[in-house]
Amino acid sequence: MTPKQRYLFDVTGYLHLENVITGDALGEAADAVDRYITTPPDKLPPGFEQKGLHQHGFAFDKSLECLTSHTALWPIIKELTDNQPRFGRGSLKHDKHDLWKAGENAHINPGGLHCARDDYGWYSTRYEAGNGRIYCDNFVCFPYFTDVYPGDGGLIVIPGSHKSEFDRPKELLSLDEADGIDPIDDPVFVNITPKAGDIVIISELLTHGVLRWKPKDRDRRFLVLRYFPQFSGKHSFPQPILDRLSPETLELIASEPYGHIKEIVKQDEVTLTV
Amino acid sequence: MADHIGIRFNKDFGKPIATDASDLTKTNADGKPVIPLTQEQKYLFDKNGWLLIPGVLPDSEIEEMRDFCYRIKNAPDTIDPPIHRNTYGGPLEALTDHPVVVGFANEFLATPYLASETCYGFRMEMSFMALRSTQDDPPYAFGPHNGNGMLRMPGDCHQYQCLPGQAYSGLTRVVWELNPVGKDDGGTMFITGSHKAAYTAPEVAQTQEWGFWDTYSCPAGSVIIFTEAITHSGQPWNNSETDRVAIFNAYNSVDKRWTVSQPPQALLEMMPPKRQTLFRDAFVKGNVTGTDFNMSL
Repeated sequence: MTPKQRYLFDVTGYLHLENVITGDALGEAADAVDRYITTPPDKLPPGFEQKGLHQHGFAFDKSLECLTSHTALWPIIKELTDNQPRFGRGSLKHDKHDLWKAGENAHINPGGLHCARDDYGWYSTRYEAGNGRIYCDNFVCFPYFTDVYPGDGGLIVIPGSHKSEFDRPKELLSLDEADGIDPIDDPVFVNITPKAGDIVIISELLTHGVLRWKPKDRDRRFLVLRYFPQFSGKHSFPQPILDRLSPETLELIASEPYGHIKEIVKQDEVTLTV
Repeated sequence: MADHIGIRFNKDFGKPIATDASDLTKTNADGKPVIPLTQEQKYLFDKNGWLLIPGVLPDSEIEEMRDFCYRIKNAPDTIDPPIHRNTYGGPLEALTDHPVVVGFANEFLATPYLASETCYGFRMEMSFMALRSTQDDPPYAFGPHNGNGMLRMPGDCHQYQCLPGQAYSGLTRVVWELNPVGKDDGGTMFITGSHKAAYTAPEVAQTQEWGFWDTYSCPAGSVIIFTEAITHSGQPWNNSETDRVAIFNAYNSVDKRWTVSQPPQALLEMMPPKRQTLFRDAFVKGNVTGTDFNMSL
């Protein structure tokens, strides 16, 4: 993790890594995402299904699985977990214009703002700085396979909210009545607009949400890769998914006690051997 | 007493101080009701390190204050008596304990046992004017400074401390914009959230073009409040249609003092007694007016 990345993640609660999946790696990953999305449910390999998200999307192809320890992410994953990482979940999100319908929730919480404090309790998630490093025990990485432009919609975040000590007012954002779904634009949030090949990293303590996807001729495709410390919780991947994974990924998802250093963590870069 | 009991402790035995900001000084020296911060304003200030409250002053007051600023700069001899020839004086005196300022300070600066209806729970530190135009030669320079306020030890007023539900802003700047400010005009700039930064800012933070610098736009009569713990900067004024006419006041807690700035003594003595408590010496024990000193709230 570079000093600049460390400063920005600390101040804002997120990082936007631009153009880090490139060339054939991006093409193969985007093709794999397309195959998962377009494969009829009854033709999907065992363990895969669409249930809200496309479950276990990271395991659909090696070009996606290798993103769990991508070169640009790896030093960040190691730092945030104090060299004790566990990869917990990795779904594929396919966002389309016609998935969005006006509903009651838009009136209650336009933009769908939430964070770990809301979802799991104020005590649930840690963010600390010490020994020149950041420790964050619940964070998400979003590798993007399609472009997002200003005005398209997609991920919104409230910078700095990962350190907020005052409760977020429930009425912080107001519904745009004409739109019926999205909030009225407000300087309190930033709409992140990654391009294919970018990766966005957020602390789960960062208040975040989503604007509806507006383009009718383009969709939004990205992985949702979730990381925790190895000594906290355990994965729930079904056996057919486990059977597809490389030894390095199996080690990354494994729960281990405090202080144990996984072999992959000793590596500066991880290459899937199978 | 407010429903919410904070987590501040009394001096003795960890006994909670059962006061809320809304329990503190309720009127200013002119008898105007203090305007408490909303939950949204508290959330935004704590998260960002700065807060814009637009359109606070009515047009009549803005015009009088703006004219007074130009007279201070261009024709101070027209201001009588001379003790008013500064930004503590004339119509600007009303800004020193404006109800919005007291409401903010009650939440982020005041010491509960040093506040009452006769005595503010915070101090005023200094006041100066920024009258900037595109004709400035040389133009006002971008000069970023401060930040990382949670890692400051006692002895440095540029600090920010926070716990769930409450925060202390340390040396705090209150900027009154007496002319409109457009987004690109040249208002004060901030690296939002840097008051809580745990790491040294990268070199690129010292360039004005860096994408993480924020600023604001606002109508005349707005107030911008920021902790001096945040990384911030002035910048050249870019709008040839109008000048920047801004009053920069600063506040602190009663136990701390950053500068020796004071209003002229004669002006201070003419102020209402409650306003005079803004400028009392920096100490704690017994530093109240009109009430007994009692830390057992």
